[in-house]
Amino acid sequence: MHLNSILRRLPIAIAALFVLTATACGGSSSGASGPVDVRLGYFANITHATALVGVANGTYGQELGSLGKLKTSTFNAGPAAVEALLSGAIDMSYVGPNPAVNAYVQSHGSAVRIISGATSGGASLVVKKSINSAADLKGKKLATPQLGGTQDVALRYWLGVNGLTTDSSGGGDVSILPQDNAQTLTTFQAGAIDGAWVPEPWATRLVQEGGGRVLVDERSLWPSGEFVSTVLLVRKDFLDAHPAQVKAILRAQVKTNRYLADHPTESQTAANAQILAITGKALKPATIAASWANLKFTNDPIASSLRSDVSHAQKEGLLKSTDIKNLFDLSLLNAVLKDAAEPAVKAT
Amino acid sequence: MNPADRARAIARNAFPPVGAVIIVLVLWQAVVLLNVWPPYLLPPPLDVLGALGEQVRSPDFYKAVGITVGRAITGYALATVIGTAIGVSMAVVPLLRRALGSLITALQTMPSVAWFPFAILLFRLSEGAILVVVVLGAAPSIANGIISGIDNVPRQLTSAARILGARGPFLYRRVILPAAMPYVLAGLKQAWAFAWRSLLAGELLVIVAGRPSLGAKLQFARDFSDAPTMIALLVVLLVIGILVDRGFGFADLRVRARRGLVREVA
Repeated sequence: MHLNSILRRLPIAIAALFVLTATACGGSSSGASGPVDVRLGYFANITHATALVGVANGTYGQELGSLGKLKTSTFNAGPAAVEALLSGAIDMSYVGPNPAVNAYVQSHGSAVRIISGATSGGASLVVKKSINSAADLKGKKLATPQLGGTQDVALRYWLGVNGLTTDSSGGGDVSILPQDNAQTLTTFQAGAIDGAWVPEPWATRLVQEGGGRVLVDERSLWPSGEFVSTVLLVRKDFLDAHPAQVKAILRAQVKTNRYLADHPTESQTAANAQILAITGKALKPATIAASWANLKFTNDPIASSLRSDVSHAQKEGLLKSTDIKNLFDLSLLNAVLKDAAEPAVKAT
Repeated sequence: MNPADRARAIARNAFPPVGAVIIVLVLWQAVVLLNVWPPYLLPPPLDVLGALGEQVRSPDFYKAVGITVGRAITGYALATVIGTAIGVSMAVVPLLRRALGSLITALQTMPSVAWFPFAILLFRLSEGAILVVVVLGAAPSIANGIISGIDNVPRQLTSAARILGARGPFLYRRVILPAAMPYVLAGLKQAWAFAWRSLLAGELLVIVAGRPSLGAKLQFARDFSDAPTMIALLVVLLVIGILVDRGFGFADLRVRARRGLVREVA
């Protein structure tokens, strides 16, 4: 029968197709030796000042040297950066802890590793002057940078603790509208939203340019005011294949974080120059200075606060699993820190 | 037909589509096993089934399906009314037709997604923006279907009807409309495809607060890098598409039955 003969040949055709696909895709892997470009993602936020200043001063490029070239991409928020990372468009990115954990959990622990912290603090809930407490927020509209991002989860959790409900499509007691940070500032100025939980410099800009007030400085919610707001996330296959390049990036970061602490004025100028280069618009020096005071640069990924972030996200239904057993790989960082005579960090 | 024959007939009809689905699933699983993409980018069919099960168990999912289908029906109904009015007036008034004919065709070929930035500007991120674009996408096809339907009614048919005394509304209702039906139906079917596409494009771009939809869910799955849920939602969209196509297929059959091209349907 005609159909039978087709069915009989089908497996052969399928097998042929796969052999073709496999050979077509096989040639792309490259060896560990030789120069390898490192594609690094980061945001034009002050919470990413390590990357801003390190890239502006050429520290990352210098440390990579003959190991390869640095190529950078910038994002508005973590979920977009993680999408780029998982799909292989970039190799590593500075992101907030929640998108980092999400990438880890979605890939069942196979795709990514956190290899360092970068920043602690630097996120606040800024609201209209007429709002004085959590209770005043009922029926109001608040913005976050992106659904599932670190500030988005922080806001939902904080509202939940204060007895206010939210949902992922903007319903509940408080309507949460994830949107671009620049749009958040203009809509706040126009009165279309009542506040936003955003990272620096946007929190400071909402206060200085939008006439808002800080209702919650996120530092006040954490023991000793320390919580991780930026980590360095790398694709695991890149980490396995190119440890020398990853180590060079970590050297550049440790160096830059030291520079940020030792030379705040120069660092602020460099960060602003880089923000100008990315967004086409520089910040006011007063904005940078005020933002700077709200955060701290550290190589420690502050694992204890990250674990809390994870349980908050799960409580809000934004994360399926809390198993983050192999999320951290800090061995390269600790080797770099040892060479730089700085104290080691821990994954617990 | 005895029950055994009937069962055999059903099996014979079901075999090609079921076979096609099985082949797709096998190919998909094979690509997954080849590891061209890691499983978190291209999940295996079983993971997607799990995600689909998770969706089907959540009440939010039905709300989203309800809102998406509701928007489609509203937009499509509005497009039908507007498209029919435009189509009929253009078919009847030659001046109107010369004035607007090419514009309608141009509108029909225009990708309706292109309207969204402007629609969002005028209507903000609201139901209105989505509705306007769905109507803009679908109405021209309906109008064009009606125009070519009326154009293609055989002269002999209208002449014969006139000789037999048919005039005015009666002529339109009993002679021209049934004769134009195949074209009208083709226009309606194409309009549905345009409406459905515009709607999904709109739902990805325009996420209205407090109104979950399939498009918004797809966008959320993207924000969480959740590939299984993404594919599960694609399956849901596909199923809705197939169901609607079945509906149109049935209407098509009725029209052909009237013309004696197939046996009368039950």
